[in-house]
Amino acid sequence: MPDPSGWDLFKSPAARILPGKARQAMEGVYTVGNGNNTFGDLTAIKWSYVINTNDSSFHVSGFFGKDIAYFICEGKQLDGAIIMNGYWRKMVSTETGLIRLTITAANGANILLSPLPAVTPGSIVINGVFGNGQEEPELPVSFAYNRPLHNSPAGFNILAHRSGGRNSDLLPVSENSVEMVLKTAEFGSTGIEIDVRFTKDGIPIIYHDNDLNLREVQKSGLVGPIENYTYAQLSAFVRLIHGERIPTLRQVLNTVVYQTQLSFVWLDTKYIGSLEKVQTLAQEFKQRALQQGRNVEIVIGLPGRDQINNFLSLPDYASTPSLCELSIEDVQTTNARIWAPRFTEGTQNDKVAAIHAQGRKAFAWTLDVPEFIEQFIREGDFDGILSNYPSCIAYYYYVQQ
Amino acid sequence: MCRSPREIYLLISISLFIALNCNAQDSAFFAKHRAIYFPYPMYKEQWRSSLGFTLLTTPQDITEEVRLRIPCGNFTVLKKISNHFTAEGRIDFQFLQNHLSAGVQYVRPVSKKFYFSAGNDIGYWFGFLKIDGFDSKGSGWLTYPSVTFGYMTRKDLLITLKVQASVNLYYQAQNGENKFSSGKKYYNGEAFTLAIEQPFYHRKHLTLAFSAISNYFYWQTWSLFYKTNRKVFYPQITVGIIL
Repeated sequence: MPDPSGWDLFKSPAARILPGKARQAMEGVYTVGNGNNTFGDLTAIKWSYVINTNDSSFHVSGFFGKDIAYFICEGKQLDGAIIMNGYWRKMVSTETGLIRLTITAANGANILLSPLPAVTPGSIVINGVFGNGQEEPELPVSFAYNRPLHNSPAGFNILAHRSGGRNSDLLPVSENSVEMVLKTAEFGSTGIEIDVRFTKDGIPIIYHDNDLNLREVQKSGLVGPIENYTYAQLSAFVRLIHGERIPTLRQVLNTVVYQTQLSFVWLDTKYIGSLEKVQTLAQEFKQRALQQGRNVEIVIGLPGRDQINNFLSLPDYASTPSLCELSIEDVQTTNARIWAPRFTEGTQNDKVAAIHAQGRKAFAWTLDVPEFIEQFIREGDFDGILSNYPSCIAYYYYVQQ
Repeated sequence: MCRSPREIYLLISISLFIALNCNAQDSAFFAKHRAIYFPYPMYKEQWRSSLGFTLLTTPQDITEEVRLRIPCGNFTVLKKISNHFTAEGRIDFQFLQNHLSAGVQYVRPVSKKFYFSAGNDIGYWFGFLKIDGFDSKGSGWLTYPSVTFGYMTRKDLLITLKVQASVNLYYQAQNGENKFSSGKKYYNGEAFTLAIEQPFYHRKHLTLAFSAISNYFYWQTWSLFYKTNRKVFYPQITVGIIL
């Protein structure tokens, strides 16, 4: 990821945080003028935030239809204008670079910074420059406000695989890390899927593979199955590929509830054993979220027959939120709230309709090919899609008319 | 330009000598060697063929725990077109996914020990997966321009270096009722193959080849993922018996 800290104007002491109303009013579908050869014809612009110890940090993201491109910027107001500074990336390649955007007062900043911003098509024009890699950005880019973001009344879950994407997607933070949970909304996610395993001393942790390997962790000298190590050992000696610690499930849920705007957590059960501790944590953090005035749905994923049997042995399984990847019959047996088939069976609108008729939801996983994402959103009836490229789902969902 | 009967006679004699010598070379080559990779012209032979298998290792950073060593059968056949042109056909079969290719090579000796060929193959792959959780089909077209350099050692060993590029021409995938096709042509990557061919038992000849394949898309992994965001390295071993 290129370092965007070189724009002196953005570091000006006079630059101040944007008011919430301006951020909210800026969200929408924009027509791309300059730069459409690189990014495509439209962008869906959306803000996200995370809550830090003393304050919140806000980011504006633009999701494009070409090459799974996006930009992520911070935004400030300066002398009546709005300036945004960050980077862009294409997920189909390793292309990335800096981007600097400006909304002058005459191009809509006066509207956005007014007490009651009223935005109409063409009333906001964002101009700026972008470049390749760390080079000084010089290529022109411009976006003109077109319409509000699409939002269906029932809502739609944009779910990020492994909390944001795989390590092979070359993201700036590691998959299944607290740091990724804090970043994932910038990629467009409204929820996350994370992988639950247990340490030797029975601590539920978030980690995908069976064993410690160089795909997921830095060289540490520890090898073999992760359940052979205690959490203290893992915490002391093992670092994820970008240097983070392997998080506990408690740490991740704590982050989701207290620091993010995420509304959904899919706990993918990667082990075979009792689900009691996971159930207890899911219930605890559901309550904590409610105490915060938030509705965060936390579901236990049931990917196989063993996990279903363990789930059915829980005393109150029927009232425990779960997500079943197997057949519709298994969904009924477990009283899962969500049916989640592989996308490789197609949109299956008849089965999804049957699930909806039972008052349940249906999610498809793990959908990464943009053309299929577009088809599933345009032609399918799923309530959510899991992807390594949540920005791509965000684009196709928000630009719908 | 007018030539005297003596010059014409000399020219024909030299040509005949070269042709006969080539046939003699061909017979000598055929008696001593059999080769599929080695770019030796088919002066006298009409056909060469080979049956074997490849073993491909999938990249761990992409396929993660699904670290496969995929065996794949293959049958290769060469057909003489002329002294310097050879047609080549190849079938790679895994039943659930298969690849067919055909092309033409221009083959030319550089010296007694060094040989060279250049050509192009067109490849078509197709696969289907209909098991629990999958209702998928895929197919596509690629083209493979290549150059090959051969070195004949004093012993019976033939050493070949083949450099092959691949260009994706067409891709189609289907999941359930959802279809997607793309005619976008893009440079897909390259493969470097070092092959050795020699007799190993009586007159049977063996091919052993090591390939370093670096691709955005590789047909053997179509059901695991579509093209990757960077070229991925696939090591492959080929073992074949020349028939």
